[in-house]
Amino acid sequence: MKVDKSLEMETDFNPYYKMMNSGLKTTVNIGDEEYIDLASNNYLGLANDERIVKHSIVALKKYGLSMCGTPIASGYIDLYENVQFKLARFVNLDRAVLLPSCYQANNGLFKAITKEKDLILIDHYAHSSLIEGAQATSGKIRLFLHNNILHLEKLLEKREKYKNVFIVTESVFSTEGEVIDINKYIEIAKKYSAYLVVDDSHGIGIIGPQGKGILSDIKTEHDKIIYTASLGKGLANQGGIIAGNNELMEYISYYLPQLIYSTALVPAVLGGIDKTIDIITNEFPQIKNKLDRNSSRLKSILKQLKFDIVETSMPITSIKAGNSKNAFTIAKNFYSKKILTTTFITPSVPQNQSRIRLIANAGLREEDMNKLEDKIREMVL
Amino acid sequence: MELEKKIIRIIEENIESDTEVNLDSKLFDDLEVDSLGVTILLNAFEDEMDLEINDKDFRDIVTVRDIIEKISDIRKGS
Repeated sequence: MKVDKSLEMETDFNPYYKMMNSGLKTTVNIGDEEYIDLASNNYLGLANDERIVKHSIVALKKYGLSMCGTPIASGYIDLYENVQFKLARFVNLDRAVLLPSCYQANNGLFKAITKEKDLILIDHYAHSSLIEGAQATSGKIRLFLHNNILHLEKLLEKREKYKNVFIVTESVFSTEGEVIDINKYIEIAKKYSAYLVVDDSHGIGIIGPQGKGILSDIKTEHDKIIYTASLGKGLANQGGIIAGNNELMEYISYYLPQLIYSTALVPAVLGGIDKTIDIITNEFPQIKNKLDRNSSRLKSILKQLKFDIVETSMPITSIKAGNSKNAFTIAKNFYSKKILTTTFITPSVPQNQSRIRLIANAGLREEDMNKLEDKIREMVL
Repeated sequence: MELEKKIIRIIEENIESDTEVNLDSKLFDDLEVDSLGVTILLNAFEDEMDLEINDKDFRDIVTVRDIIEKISDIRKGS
């Protein structure tokens, strides 16, 4: 088993596994050099917030490094329960369970809640964790064309053959910043009495009137909604959640192997998440304003310089890079100007649809954005 | 042929591209169908034609004509 290094050799560049020796501030250090961070998912710029760090330290000092057990055993502290309830309220659902990561949550969810006579319908472009999670079950899986409600409905016409049906998608597709119309998905799920599973990893903390994610503004009686999200992006921490109605979440808390057989999130992380939710709740409008301003400015600069970027209202800037070699070359150019970006090549994206993704987070100050603009202009000259 | 028409119709209904589908259409080059897109098509053939399809049998397909040949073989075998 060998890694294919042909692209790296052709371009004399590898955009992956760049080793940093600092945390995420306005810049990150690689070796002795400072790079502007447009790569991380630290949308709200909270990854190094002093208040959150302080709160984490308080939890660390109170509970120690780890509870050395799964939540079902010795890992269930009062802070764990409080953060679960706080997150559930934050995303507008009854109850939540916390896991070490959203990847684990998505991987394990379907095995816990589906059976052989069930049907799982997944968006063609859904995250691999969701597709892998569904493939690990004995239920029937069908992919629907990306964000295509008509195609989804065509597949739902066979719903009667199955006991339970699960519609699986993401709120925000992160390579390009496409946001789904959640109301349409809820409507169709209700029409066919299906569960709607939505991964809000790039939505929580970022979208919705108060940053409370894709469901925050929704009023629905449809209680078959299962929500997952990563806490390592907008919430600038670690872990994943699954949230939904009380009965289903109680079931998951006992029957999801990725939860009951994994060591619980450590207290320092829980302390951090706890404080982060408070900050977002109290300060979202100001933080979002900075995020939108930085994102708009970055998009404007790139458009002026004739970069081909995907149009989106999300604070995600995605440069269309064509084939993989071109993607590596563009990433290399940014890197040479001390700008970190994220490179998506096949199989993460369809062939010849590589993307260079840039997120100008809310923590970048005006002077950082001025420096960024200068560097990008230099790059093009 | 009825089978050809049916398969072309199923393909048209299960791809994102608006490009006209004919026997010589190449899945990847002409119709922009990637590997997951092929999965969507194979699922559609299974559901609409009541077949059991092994993905591995379709690994080398390039054109619509290739698909039709493979499905004919499957139907003959079943």
